[in-house]
Amino acid sequence: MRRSTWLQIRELVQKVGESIGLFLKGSFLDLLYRHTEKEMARRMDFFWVLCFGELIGLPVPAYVSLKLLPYFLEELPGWQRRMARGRPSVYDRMGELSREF
Amino acid sequence: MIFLFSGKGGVGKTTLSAAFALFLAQSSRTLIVSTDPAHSLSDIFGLSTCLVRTGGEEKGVGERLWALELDPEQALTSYKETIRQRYGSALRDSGLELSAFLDSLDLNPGTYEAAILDAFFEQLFREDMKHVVFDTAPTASTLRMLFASEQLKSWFDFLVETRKGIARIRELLHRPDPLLGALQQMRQRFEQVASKLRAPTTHFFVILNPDALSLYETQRLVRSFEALGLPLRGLILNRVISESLSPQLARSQYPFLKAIRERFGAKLMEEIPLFDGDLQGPDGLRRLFPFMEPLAKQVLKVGRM
Repeated sequence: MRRSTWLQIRELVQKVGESIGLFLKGSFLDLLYRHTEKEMARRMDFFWVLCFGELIGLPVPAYVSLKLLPYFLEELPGWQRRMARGRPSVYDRMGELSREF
Repeated sequence: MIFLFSGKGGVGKTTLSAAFALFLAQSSRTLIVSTDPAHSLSDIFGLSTCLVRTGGEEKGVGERLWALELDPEQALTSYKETIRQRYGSALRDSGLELSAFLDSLDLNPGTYEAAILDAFFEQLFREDMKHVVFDTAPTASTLRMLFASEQLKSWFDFLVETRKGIARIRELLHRPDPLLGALQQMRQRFEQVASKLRAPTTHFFVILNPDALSLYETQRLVRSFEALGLPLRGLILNRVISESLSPQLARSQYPFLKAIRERFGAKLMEEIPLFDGDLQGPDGLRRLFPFMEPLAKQVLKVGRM
């Protein structure tokens, strides 16, 4: 009897501990993770603006665009989703990014 | 060893580089490559047109001698086809005018150089040939190509640095970045080319004729070589008219001959007369051998040092 109560208390403490852990992870670590992921996406988007600036009139050597086109096309689906979000055209975001950096 | 023949249009680059290659091929495996969009290697070797230009592979044109006419347009077309086949739908749905971008590449002024650059790089590093002789495009295009290669190197430096920042973040998220490696490889290629062009086994020759335009352009070319830090091996004066051929024309060349000898003195490696009759085909080219021999001797001696 006494032994099972002890077990119950231990279980409860464990659960509370887990919840606190999840709470902390949810409020801090995930936030950090999401923030990092966002930053990565932003930088990668800017990277492609660097390589295909030709599309918005920035002088980029054709050699660079030609060489990197296959890599860009691999990433294109995600890129497009991020770039076009709530904007009339992808070009708007390209312009924004080129000003931001 | 690498030999690059450069100079104004029509001074005899193709003839001399072909004769030189044929001379070198007497003893070792030699490849002659034309980077001039208006190719005439096939003609000089007396082959039917375009025989040398099939699928980017060289053709044997003699014993130990192969010839290749670089065809960037064909390379570009096949590149575009591959892209379209693999990423057709992505191209159409990108929300960018990527398809039009791909189409307009032909009209983009930098594309031709970009396409020829890669083909040129590839031939610079031939392991299977003892000598590679380049019959380059007239001065301006060749210089643009060399300048472009320097400029692109700094572009890739910049891209690699930018991508490194991305790769660091990706590492945090446990996502490797294959593009960084690819970019570093591309940059390394430019570094290799830059050092190859400055290696003691690479020789730039400038060909000129004894006339005013040729003299002026050669002066500019020599200055550009200095600006790029490329070692100019020497000048070859071609089409010197002898008294016996035409006293009158020979006399008209005197002021330019004098000016060239004074200005380039030590750099002047060889003077080749204007030949009576055609120099086409291997037999025609062999008539130039007496002039190729001292040239090859000088160069090969330096190479051994």
